[in-house]
This record gives sequence, C-alpha cells and structure tokens, in this order.
Amino acid sequence: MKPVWIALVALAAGCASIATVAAQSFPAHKVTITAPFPPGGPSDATARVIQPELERIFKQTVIVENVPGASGSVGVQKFLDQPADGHALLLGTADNTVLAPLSVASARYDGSSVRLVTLLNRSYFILATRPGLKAGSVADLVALAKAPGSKGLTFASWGIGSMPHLIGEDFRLRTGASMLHVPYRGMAPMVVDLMGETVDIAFLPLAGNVPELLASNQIKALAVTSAQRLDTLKAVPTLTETGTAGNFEYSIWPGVFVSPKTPDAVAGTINAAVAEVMKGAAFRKFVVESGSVIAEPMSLAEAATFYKAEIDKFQGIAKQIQLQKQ
Amino acid sequence: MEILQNLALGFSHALSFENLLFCAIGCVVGTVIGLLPGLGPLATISLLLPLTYSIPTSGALIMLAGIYYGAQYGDSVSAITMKIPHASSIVTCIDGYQMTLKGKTGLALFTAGVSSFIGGTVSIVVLAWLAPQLGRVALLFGPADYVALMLFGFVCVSVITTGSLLNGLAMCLIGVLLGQVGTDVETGVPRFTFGLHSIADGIGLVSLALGCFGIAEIAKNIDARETRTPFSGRIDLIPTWPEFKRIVPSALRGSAVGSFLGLLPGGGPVIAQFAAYAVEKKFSRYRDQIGDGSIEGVAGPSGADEAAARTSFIPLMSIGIPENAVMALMMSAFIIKGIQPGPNMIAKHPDLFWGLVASMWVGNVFLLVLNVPLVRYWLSIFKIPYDVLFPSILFFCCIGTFSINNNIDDVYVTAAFGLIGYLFIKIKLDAAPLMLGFVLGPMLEENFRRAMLISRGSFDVFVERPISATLLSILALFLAWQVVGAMLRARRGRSGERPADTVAP
Repeated sequence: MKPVWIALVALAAGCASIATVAAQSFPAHKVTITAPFPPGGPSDATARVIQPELERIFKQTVIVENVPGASGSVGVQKFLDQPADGHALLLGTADNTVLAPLSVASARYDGSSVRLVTLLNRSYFILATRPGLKAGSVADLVALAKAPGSKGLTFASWGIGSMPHLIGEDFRLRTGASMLHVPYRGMAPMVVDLMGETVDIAFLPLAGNVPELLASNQIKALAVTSAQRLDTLKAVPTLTETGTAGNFEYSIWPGVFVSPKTPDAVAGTINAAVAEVMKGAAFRKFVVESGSVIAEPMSLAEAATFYKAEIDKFQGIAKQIQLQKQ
Repeated sequence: MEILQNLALGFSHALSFENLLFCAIGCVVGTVIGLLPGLGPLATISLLLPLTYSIPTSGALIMLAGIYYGAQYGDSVSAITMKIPHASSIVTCIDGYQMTLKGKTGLALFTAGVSSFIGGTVSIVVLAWLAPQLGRVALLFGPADYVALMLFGFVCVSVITTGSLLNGLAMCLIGVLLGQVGTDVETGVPRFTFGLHSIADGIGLVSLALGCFGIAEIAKNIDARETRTPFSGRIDLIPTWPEFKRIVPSALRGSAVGSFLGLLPGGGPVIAQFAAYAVEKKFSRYRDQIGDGSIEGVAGPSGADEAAARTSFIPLMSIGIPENAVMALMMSAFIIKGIQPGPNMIAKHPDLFWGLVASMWVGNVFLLVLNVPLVRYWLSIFKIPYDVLFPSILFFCCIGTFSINNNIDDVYVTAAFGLIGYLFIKIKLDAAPLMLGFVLGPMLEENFRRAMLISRGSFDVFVERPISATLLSILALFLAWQVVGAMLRARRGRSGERPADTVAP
C-alpha cells in the first residue's frame, strides 16, 4: 500500500511541478491570436489593440491571424486544431463559438469546445427602428405588429443563426408580435437598409457607428438590452423595464478563448495578462471611443459561469425556433 | 466658398513635408507590391496595415490611401502586360492585354495611368463638393432597385463578349452558377459546397480571376512554346496627339460612371468597370475596335475603377459603412487610430477628412509623375526569362490568394480555376462574361429574394418604387430598340443590300 501512495504523491507533485514549469515558461514562443472574422470591423479592431499590449507583457511576438468564413467556424476550427498549450488564442464572440455550430453543419464543435478566459468589452443591443416607423415605444411597436390587417414587421439580422436573429426571434416569441426575419450578409448592409426604411427593426449592438447614427436620428432606439439604463443613453429604457418581454438581457462581447485542455496555470497567466491589458489607458480609451462598455476583468471561474449561461441561453432559443444545422 | 476653405485646409495638411512623405511612400510601396502578379489592393493593404500602426493618425491614413491607389495602378500593370488581373483591373485587362499583343504596351500603360488620373480628379471634385449629401444615395436604393440595376448590368454581356453572343451568354450563365456556390443567405443552406469548408462562403472573386485569366494565360503561353516575351521590350510611352485625344473623352465618361457606381454598396469598382466598358462600346466613336486592343477599352474602365475606388470612401466617411472589403480594412485602420467613421466624422475631424481628400489628389499626381519615367524599370521585371518568371508568377499568385483569408484551400481553388480557364481558352470561350455573371448573379439573386421576402411575395414592389420602375422601363425600351434594330438589319440583309455585319446585343 505504502509504496503506491508514495508513488501517487510523487506523481501528483511531479505533475504540479510540470504545470508550474509550464506556467513559468509560458509563453515559450510566439503567440497566435486567431480572429475568426475578416480584417476591419469592431472585433478585429479589438484584436489589433490588444496585440501590442500582450506582446509587451508576454515579451514574445504576438500575431493576429484573420481566418474568416462560415460565421467564424472556419477560424474556430483552425484554432482547435492547434496545440492546447496556450500559445494559440482565439478572439471571438458567442456568434462564432456558440451560435455558428448551431446553424453551420460543417462546424464540428460546440460552445463547450472552447474555454472563455475573459471578456474584453461588451456592447448591449438596442432595439432599433427605421427612422420613419411610427412607434414611439416598445408597447407601440408590439401593438403595431399585432394590429389586425397589418402584415407584421420585418426584422433584420446579419445572417441565419446570428445573434441579432436569435434575439429577434426571442423577442417575437415573448411578445407574440408578428415579425418576419430578413437576413443579410454582415452588419453593414443591414444597417443601410434600416436607415433606408427597407426593413422595420433590428437588434443592433451599441458600438461602432451606431451611437452616432442614433444621435443624428438616422435610426431610432426604443429600448436597450442591458440590466440598467446606460449612462450614454439615459433616455432609452431597458427592454426589461418596458415590461413587454419579461427579463430581456443580451450583450455581444469579444472574449479571449483557449482550448479546454490548456493547463489551468497557463490559462491563469493569460487571464492575468489580459486583465492587465484591460486596465491600461490605451485599451480603455479604445473601448470608450468605439462606443461599447468596458467589461470588468473576470476570474477564470467567473468567466466559466458566465460563458455557460450564454451557451444555455442561445441553445435554448435555437431549440425553441427549431434552428436547423444546415 | 466654404469648400475652397476646406480644400485649402486639406492641402495645408496634405502638403506638409511629413504627410507628403507618407503619401509618396504609400504610393511607391503600393505600386511595387501591386505590381507583383497576383497581389491586388486588398492583399497589399492587409499586408502593409501593420506598418501604419506607429505613424501619426493623418499620416497613417494618407499612407494607406496611397498604398491603395498605388496597388491599383501596379495591378493594372500586371493586368496589361501579362493578363494577370486582380479585382481592380478585370475589365482593363481585356483590351489592355490585346494592346500588349500588338506591341503597344507603353501606350496601354500610359492610357491606364492618365485615365486613372482623370478618374481620380473627377471623383475628388465629387467627394469635396458632395460627400455629406452623397452618403445618402446608398440609402435610396432598396432591394428592388438593386434588382433593376443588376438586370441592367446583364445587358453588358452582349458588350463584353468577343465573338459569338451565344457563347457569351453561356459563359455568363456559368458565371451565375458559380456564383451560387456557398451558403444561401436566406435559409443558411450550403449550396454546391460538397461539404468543403473552404467554399462555404462561396468562391472568391480573386481566385476566379487569377485562375481563369492569369494562370490560364501562363499555361497557354507554355503550351504555345513561343519565345514571345509578354511585351515587345521597346516601350513607347508617350502617345501621339491624336491618340491622346482619344483617351480623354473615354476616361471622362468612365469617371462619371465610376463616381456614381462607387457610391453603391456591393461590387463598387468591379461593376463600374463593366459599366464603363459597356458605355464605351455603345457611345465611343471607335466602338468597333473595342475588344481587340483599343485605347477606349482601357481608358473607360481605368477611369471608372479609379473614380469608384475613391467615391466608395463616401459611405465610409459619411455614414460609417464600409461597402467592400478594401473599405472594411480602411475602416479598421480608422478605428485602431481611435476614429470612428460615422455621420460626425467630417465635422469632428475636418483636418483629417479634408487632408485625406487633398492627399488623394496629391497621390494621383505622384503616381503619374512616378510612373511615366519609372514604368520601364517596373517592366524590366518582366524581362526575366520565362522559366524563372512563370514559376515566380505562380508563387505570387499563391501568396495573393492565400493572404486574403489565410486559408490554404483558396490556393487549391485558384489552381482548379486555372485548369478550367485553360480549358476555356482551348475551346475558345471567353472568360470575361463569366466574370460578369459571377459578380452580378449572386447580387441579383440576393436582392430579388430579399425584395420578394419584404413585399411578402408581391411583384408590385418593382413598379411601385420610382428607381426600379424607371430603370426597368429604360431597360425595356432599350431591349425593344435592340430587337427592332436587329430585325430591321436582318430584313435589309435578306433583301441583299448588304449583309448584317454585327449581331445585335
């Protein structure tokens, strides 16, 4: 009995020390951040902003590799093919890691195939309407969509199975409003058609040019999907507060992911490094200027809980609307 | 007079020593990289974007803009001399390469350069006077209007087809079919992807263009076992006065077409080139020569491409919406520099906006000054013997396709289209209409289905909207005129007066 115990303890100690060595020697060589979207756009800009900062902290070359395609699943898949030693990072959103595998058949992973290290920043969604739509509040909007003889409303998204699609469907299911989904290729054309009165409403992340479009009345915001009203949009109620759709909270957040097989110590090092970047003035300035909200640094455990909740939420809606893997 | 003040402000920024330097560096680097076969503006900008991170904001943006124009110009050089186009010279290469085969490389390059200059100048006037208002043009076009516009585009098939119209139509439809590959927007169903991840978002325009033109052309040259160099070696750059007089009106027509089409999201410069080519074929005095190496066939599309490339900055800077991949990259450069393109950008950063506008023109002058004397040095690259040149061209084609999505599979797709393009050449089918079908087909389908979806299946939407109703009626009149014209010609031909010389489009 005794020798076995000793051996086990020795083994455990050995493992621990290997893990510490791994953590101490991380990063041993260049770190690659896979960004599963094309260059340009807010998430890519986030990657480009943290890249030099991480380089400074890690004292290693950090490169951003854009691998777009199939709702980001090509990039996620490529990331998963790399060794799980923390030198391969993924900078993505739930759109790429949770939602893409729900609708893209060629994506052979699911939300839990990746581990969230921390969120970087978050953008809440606004329930936006075209400028000419005669609805001053969410209640008006729902009434309009339910009015007898009306054809119902159209709502835009950046693709089948994308976040604004699922959020829109959730809103439809909860309010019982008659709403027709109009998918687009990407966010830019969908915003153009909303501004040009072609589609009625859309859930738009409050980031990029959206705050300015609101300020110049080119689109209207009826509600915001945060828990409390936002400082930047004091006049706009939260959707929950309007009492039309129950507790209705959503946000889109670029986060840093690693493979779940990555040693905890290495994940911890990455978590700490990213937290340091997030505290830096350069990052804070970037987040504020890009119109989104700074996320407070999370511990690994907090990140895991948060990510699990996101997975459950979106998988739930996908099931309800019978979203098919195509 | 506010405009002049603004422009003065812009030039005061653009002409500062530092910014002038950044503009010059951008233009030169852009030209050199764009010159490499297979590397177009998109690849060049994404490769060089990191260079600008450490440069002050206005300098960085000016340099990127310089890289963009430089790459476009460089691209036209490889398109004209070797028929290896990227997206920005798909049409220019039709007549440009024909001119090269006739030993008129120098003239073709000069025409492309001057036309780009004219296109750039016209669009800058448009940009300076109308930028804030023109941003809204994109908003006036709903899906139904795009459908009408795309149908108009299909009329171009008859124009860019050399030889049999039936072949041209067939190729165009093959292009439309190729455009169907990828995920259907409305249902999310992958079509004709054979489960391959790499074509889940469709076949890349660059893969198709490089394969069907560039690689196929190389294969053909090897096949021919001729010792012909891509160009004759002697370059007469400066045209004669009568030749020069032919450039200007075509370039101006092209610029007008390009300035307008550049404002619309989607294909932008590519569609502008096809449209300008069609305009030349219809309205130029030398329309009979277009297709086998005419100045007009180069001048129109070059002017249109340059003009569209610049006016496509308008939606980005006035409403913050990038309308193509290159603009999305420019947008990311803006955002990294802490500037959010949007409705307030011009008001918030007047120095930046006007500085950029002014530097676009300065960049144009640079390109012209730089390229007239330097073009013979650029071209000496192509004096390398074939057995070295061809492998290196293929190498750069691989880098060019790979760099767009960082995906090795794209290289295989390009290679496959090289083979298909070679077969097309062998059975004497023209790839240009295929390109047109490939660009327009998916846009037509997407917008048609969206229009029908939003109208809940009612066709009324096409006649209710003023833009689509107008465009469709013009189209109907045009087709009627062509059909009647063809019938009249056929009757005259049958009565033995003289044979019908051209087939009506």
